[in-house]
Amino acid sequence: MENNQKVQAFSEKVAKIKSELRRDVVGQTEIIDHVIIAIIAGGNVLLEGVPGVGKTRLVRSLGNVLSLPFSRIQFTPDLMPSDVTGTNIIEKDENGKLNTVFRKGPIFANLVLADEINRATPKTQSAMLEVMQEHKVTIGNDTYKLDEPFFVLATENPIEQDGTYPLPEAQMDRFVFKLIMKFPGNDELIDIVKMTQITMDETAKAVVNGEEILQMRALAATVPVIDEVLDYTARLVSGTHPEIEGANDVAKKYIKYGASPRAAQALITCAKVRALMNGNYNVSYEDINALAAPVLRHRIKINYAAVNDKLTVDDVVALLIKTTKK
Amino acid sequence: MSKNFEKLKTKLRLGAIIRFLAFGIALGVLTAAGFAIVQKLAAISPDPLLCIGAGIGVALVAIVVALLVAFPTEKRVAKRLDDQLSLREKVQTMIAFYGDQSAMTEIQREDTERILGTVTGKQLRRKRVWLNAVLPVLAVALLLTAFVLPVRTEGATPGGDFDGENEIWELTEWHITAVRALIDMVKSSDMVEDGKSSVVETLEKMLADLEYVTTKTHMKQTVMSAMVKIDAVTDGINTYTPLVRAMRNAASLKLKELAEAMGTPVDPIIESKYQALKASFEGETFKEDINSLAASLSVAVDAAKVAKTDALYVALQQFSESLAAFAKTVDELGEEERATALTHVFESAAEQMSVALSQQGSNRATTDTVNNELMSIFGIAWNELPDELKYSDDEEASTEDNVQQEQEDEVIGGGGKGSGEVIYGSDDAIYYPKDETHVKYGDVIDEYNGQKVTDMEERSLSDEIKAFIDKYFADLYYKDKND
Repeated sequence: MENNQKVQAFSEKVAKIKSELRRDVVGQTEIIDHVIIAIIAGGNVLLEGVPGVGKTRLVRSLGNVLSLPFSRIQFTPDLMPSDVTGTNIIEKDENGKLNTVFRKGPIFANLVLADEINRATPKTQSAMLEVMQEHKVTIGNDTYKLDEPFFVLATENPIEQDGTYPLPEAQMDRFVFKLIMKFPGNDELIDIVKMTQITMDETAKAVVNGEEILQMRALAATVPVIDEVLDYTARLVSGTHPEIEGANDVAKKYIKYGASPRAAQALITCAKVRALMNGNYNVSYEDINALAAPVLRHRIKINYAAVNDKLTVDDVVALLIKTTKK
Repeated sequence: MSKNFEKLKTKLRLGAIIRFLAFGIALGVLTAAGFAIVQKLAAISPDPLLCIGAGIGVALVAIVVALLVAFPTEKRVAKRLDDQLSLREKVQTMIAFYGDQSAMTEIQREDTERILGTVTGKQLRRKRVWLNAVLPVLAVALLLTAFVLPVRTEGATPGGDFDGENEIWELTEWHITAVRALIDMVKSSDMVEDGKSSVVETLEKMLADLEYVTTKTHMKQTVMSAMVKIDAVTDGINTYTPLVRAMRNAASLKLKELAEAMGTPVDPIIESKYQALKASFEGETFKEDINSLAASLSVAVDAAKVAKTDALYVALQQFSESLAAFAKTVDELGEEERATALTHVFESAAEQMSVALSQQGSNRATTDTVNNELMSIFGIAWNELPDELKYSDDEEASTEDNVQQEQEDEVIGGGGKGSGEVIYGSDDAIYYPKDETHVKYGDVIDEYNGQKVTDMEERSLSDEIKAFIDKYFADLYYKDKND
């Protein structure tokens, strides 16, 4: 396919994905955009939201639209790592011989919804996160590769904090975005009710497949970034570290610890996708700034001074953007 | 490189160069005007070469620095286009990846090129363009101020009826020729050399200053300032005034007569008065009178505090010595011989004094001529002159002393603590043995002083006693008016 056609096809496919998803998910435009960016960029998303805002529906609908197998893992405190990855079982074959067979766990899907991941034990969490990182499962001496594209959307319930195991910062870093799904507005709520009165099932149809997603990923990776934007991104991320010489004054005042280099990688990779989605063929400062909050909010820890000044982590990120010179 | 980008780059660079040039020129004009104003305020005629040179230097440096610091490189042009047209770093990306052959960069390039093709000149216009006019306007305002501001002058201020007109004036060749002729006149005059060089220097400086004068007011101020300096040259070298004043202030009537008979630098040695003075030395008091005159003359000229090498001072001192020497030998001479010797002493003195006074007259005449010519050349009326130029010191001394003399003449018997500066003797009466009556002290003090001189020569007195007696009589003659 000619390059121009590829680029045009990229935009058309993204538009189709969005259009289909809106059939099942009312509102949440920004969440949908960021989820699409994350999938194309090859990252995973941590989604925070109260029950009933459409987290599961979003991922299920996404599975339909992308023609990708979908699985849902409901994390509970008694969930074992093998419940996620799968395990070897002993089976009798037709000859009556006993054989060891690997039974794949729910992780073996292209789209996985890891619901309430913070309810699982750290051991189960780490098993899940290892798979997210490496896209493979190792059981004993055997390694089982997961099909690409592989995307995990993990959720955290912000209400039930008792009996939960908050994800450690090192593992939070594996999510390219943390998105906050807000309670829908009045009009959106009305639309949700109307829609679900007709049917509760997802009606979105398949518009792309996994192969096409991989092609889109490869195309997005070629979007050029000028050194000035790269430099700005690096300064934005390193500016979150108060201990570094020449750190941003906002970081010195409001941040306890800053983001890892993965944040800079995530910003550039996702910015390229965003640029292409918006019909631009280069990464701009605006792309970086638009993605800074979802990329950084789970990677930096604000201190008491910020809490005292009634600043949220998103407010601190906004201040960082304001004070970082282009 | 992209055709559209090149076009826009050229346009922006041209605009920038014009702005830099305007900035540099405005800064240069500001500097030149500032230099001129500072010099004028410091009472110095602005040196055009310095002002223009400084202005050009600053302009060049400013333009070069602006070019080095802010020249629109490709990157800067690209950034300006992106920022001003909200292109989200499209142009900068195009420039950065221009050599790249990948598919995406090619698409990016084409897309950017297409967008640049739609950019109009209006879109590139800077906001707040009026700010660019601030510096040039300031420069022009300062330049006008520099032209209009007169050079601050020190010294003479116009007096009398000077009307402070601000008419445009310009130094012409005619003025220069006239002043140069005046300088030549001074150089060939009879004025003493020191005086000549001072006057010539003052005239040269005045000419130099007048080159930068642009108004009539300023011209007259400059010329009158020079006239005051020229007048002061003669005041500094002529000693007639202090010497004759000291002679007139003395108690001795003969000394006063001598001061009158001496005349002025313009009219030295009034023969009738001089001869009358010579003829007054006769009779029994002859010797005493001569000695008295000699002593009082010596004291008076010393009291004037002029240079000991001054010709008039020397002439008067030598006259005093001649008189004293003559008085010593007078007893050995017959009547005819005495008259001859007296005549010789007086004639020698007259000759010396005449030469000295004539020189001082030449000095005064030269500076008076110069000042009169300056008034004529530059159209300055007498009533415009400051008071210090309206009367010469020589005349002034004469006038003041005449007034004082009149006042003294009014005083009955004069003396004592009296009125005016001259105090000679006392109003008290003294018994005068010759007439066997009381007479006013002031009438006989000269006689007594002469007797003192004779007695001191004939009798053996210690130096100490002689000094005491001298001082006594000196105090009588020059009584401190504050007593």
